[in-house]
Amino acid sequence: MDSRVIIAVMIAAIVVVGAVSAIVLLDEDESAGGTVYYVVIPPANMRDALATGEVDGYIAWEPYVSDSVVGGVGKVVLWSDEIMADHPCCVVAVRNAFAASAEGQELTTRFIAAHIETTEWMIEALDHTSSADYDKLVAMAVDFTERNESVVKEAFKHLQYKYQMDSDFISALEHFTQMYNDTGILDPSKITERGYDSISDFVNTYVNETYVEDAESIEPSSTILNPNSPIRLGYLAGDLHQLAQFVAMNATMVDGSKSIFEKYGLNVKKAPGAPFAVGGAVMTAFSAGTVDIGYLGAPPAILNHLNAAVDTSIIAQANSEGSGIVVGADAEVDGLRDMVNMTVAIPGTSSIQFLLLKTALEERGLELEIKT
Amino acid sequence: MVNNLLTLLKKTLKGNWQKLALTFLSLAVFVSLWSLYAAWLHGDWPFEGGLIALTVPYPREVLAAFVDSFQNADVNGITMWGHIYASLKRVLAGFLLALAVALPAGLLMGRSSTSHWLGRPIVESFRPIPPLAWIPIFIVVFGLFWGPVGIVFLGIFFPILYNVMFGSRSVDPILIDAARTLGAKKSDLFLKVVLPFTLPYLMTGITVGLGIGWMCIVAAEMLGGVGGGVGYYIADRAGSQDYEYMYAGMVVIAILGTLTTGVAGLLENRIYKWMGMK
Amino acid sequence: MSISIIGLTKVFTKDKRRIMALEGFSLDVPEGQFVCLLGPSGCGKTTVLRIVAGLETKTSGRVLVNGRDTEVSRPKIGMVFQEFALFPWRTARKNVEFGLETRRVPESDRTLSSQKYLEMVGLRGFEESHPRELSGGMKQRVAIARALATDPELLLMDEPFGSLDAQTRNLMQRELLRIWSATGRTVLFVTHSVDEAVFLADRIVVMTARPGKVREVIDVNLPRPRDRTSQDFITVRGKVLAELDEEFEKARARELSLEQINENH
Repeated sequence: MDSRVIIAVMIAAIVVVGAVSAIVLLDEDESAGGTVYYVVIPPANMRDALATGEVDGYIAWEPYVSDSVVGGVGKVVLWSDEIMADHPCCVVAVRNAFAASAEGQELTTRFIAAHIETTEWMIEALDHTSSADYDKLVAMAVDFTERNESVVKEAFKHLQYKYQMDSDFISALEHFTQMYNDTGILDPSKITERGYDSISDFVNTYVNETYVEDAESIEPSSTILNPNSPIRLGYLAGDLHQLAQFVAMNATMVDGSKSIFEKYGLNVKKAPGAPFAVGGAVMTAFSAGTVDIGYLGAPPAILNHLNAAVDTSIIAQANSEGSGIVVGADAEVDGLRDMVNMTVAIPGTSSIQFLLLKTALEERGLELEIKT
Repeated sequence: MVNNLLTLLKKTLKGNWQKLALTFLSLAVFVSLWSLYAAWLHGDWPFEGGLIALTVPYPREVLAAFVDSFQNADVNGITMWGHIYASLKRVLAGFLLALAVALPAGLLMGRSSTSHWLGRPIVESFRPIPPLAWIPIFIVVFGLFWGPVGIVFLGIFFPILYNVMFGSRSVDPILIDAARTLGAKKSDLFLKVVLPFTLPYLMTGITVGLGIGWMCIVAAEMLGGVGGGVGYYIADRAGSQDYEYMYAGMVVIAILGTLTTGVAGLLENRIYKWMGMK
Repeated sequence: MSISIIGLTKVFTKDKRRIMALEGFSLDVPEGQFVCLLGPSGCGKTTVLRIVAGLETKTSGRVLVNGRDTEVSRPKIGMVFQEFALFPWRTARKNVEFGLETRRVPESDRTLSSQKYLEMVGLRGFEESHPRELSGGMKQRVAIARALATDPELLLMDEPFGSLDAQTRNLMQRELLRIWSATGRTVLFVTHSVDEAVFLADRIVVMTARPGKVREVIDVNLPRPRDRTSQDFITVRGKVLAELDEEFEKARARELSLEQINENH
């Protein structure tokens, strides 16, 4: 063969190999102030990723936090309520087209009534840890999250179930939206594009308190009002924050023979595609019209509505707090500042966990960047 | 240098102006249909009926997003250049690995029947499994960088292996005879006859493999949990239903895919011509 | 270099069938002679060539080149094939240099040799062409140059002009004679064509149908260049044809009887 060709090929090979080595080996960039890096992993896989050392830490919602702690794989560096006290997390949202008709309105109000009763029952049960209700709640949580008792019990300690949407709730959502604008996650022009005057206008319009108000006057019903067209329910897989819908579905809650949904005359079924992995998926399902009422994080409820005009409203809160930043059990990490140059797993950039992490880091003068 | 390129470009354009005109025409039709569909979805002129969904943005919106993604960092803190770099890194690593293993394996299995019958059952059992099926396992076993690289490896490995195997087996026996009469020893036969003969087949395997490998990395980035990359970008945008940027990401993939396979195909043709075999 | 083939026998086993291609084939070729092997299809003439070339093993018998058994010390041979067998990715020059590369001849010497032989076969100006750019006749010239470049002890040619059209074939025959007289090698030339054999050879070896052995050796004592229309030429041709035709008949009869045997089964 032509020797020139051979030499050319050899030079090309050397260049390529050199480039690859440079790329792979010298890739570590260290920024000045201190940067924490993130990758996106489904929360269900986060514990394994931590255990194998693929990531140095992660932030997720319960039970995925206590999962690692109880299993001895990790320890919590920071709870989400330490980042932002009583921060809203999961909410209940409705597809506006579903609630547009009189019947839809009725069904939605009853749903919220069921949600409220369930939430209050759960709060009671958690206050009395030696009661039979508490054990029943734990059993249901174990069933829903597929985690063992100790994990569930530990997780309960760090979250709050609530349904009210008070002014703190509203301010918090306004704060999130502002954060989205500031960090460039959301284009500020989207607010006006959707027809709102301001962030405040948006949040106050998007959050609809009437259902919670009207639910007070709802009475139980002995018959099912929608036997042939069930409410299609969306929610996240094993998300302890959203336990309320699972409890409300349990057929032994009322007199041992009925579910709370049935008590209020509701036929509720899993929506096609449920359970979803992340809140963004619930919003996409709303877009597609396959979910009528859904449980999801407030941030995707906000973000996706503004980006894609998903026609929904937030009609109740489901929980606050209940997330945590976890690192390896033996890691020499006492606070967030020790995590510089580490890699943390997040559920996704439209999740509240991402916002919380970013907030916490910024308060300490640190950057958050994706690890490529 | 620039002058030469310009003259070359002008010559190519002049020579192929019909093909170029047709390409532009088909693109124009496509963009018009797209705009029409978007208008229907958005409830804009010439359609009435209000907003149906924003799932398909206008071409100009996607174009704006496309340009913006290269100029400004996104929520992840990097521009589209950074995402492209991340994906290309993985494809390159997977490609080189696949080449390093498949080329010798293919040559061996093509020339030695013992190797062939030894390797065949293993290869045949793994081949039908789509590389994407391995994503969850690979990410856990090999980690966040080498996991997706492993998927790319699988995607590129088989086309190269099969093409090299076929090529090295198809060496014209008369060339071997001629070489032997010219005093070739076993090493000469291999280096001077089998290897150059197999080269065009290797190039075909590479062209096919690169196309597959590219698809693998996008899918692996979308399904697996990794950081950065064009596939990740699309999944990320899809999660927050940021459609303009999501489509921009898809356009990037289309461009990159066309470029890589196009270049590989050109090289393949060049080599076939040089070999006097096509 | 002289060739001595003594009692060469070759048996092929294919799918449990034994085919005796050659049985006791013996031939002496003195140095510098041009010998043609002629015979019906399947008579084993190519097999003889391939065994001498070392491409095929023999079942029994001996092949001596210059008195040395080829199994003990392989002679340097040059071979030309009907299908040209040029390496398509190499230029004419690089093809010619192949045999020199395998013998680790330094580059400058290789270039000198390849240039010399390419000019000898009349391809000056085409050294850098690839085979696909050359006509059939030109390709075969390259093949001949390639075979000669290594300075072989003998030249083996297996129906080298079989793929060429009639005019090119005639031209190449004359060219071959020209080159041969310039180099003086011993040549063993296999062909189907009686005409070609009579035109080229010093001696024609007519082989029997399978299993192949020597039926008749006919000397062609005509001076070159030979005139195809001359009486002497036609006489020799007639003699060769007569021998050949009988063998063709025998071969055909045997095939017919074989068919009958198969049918009877």
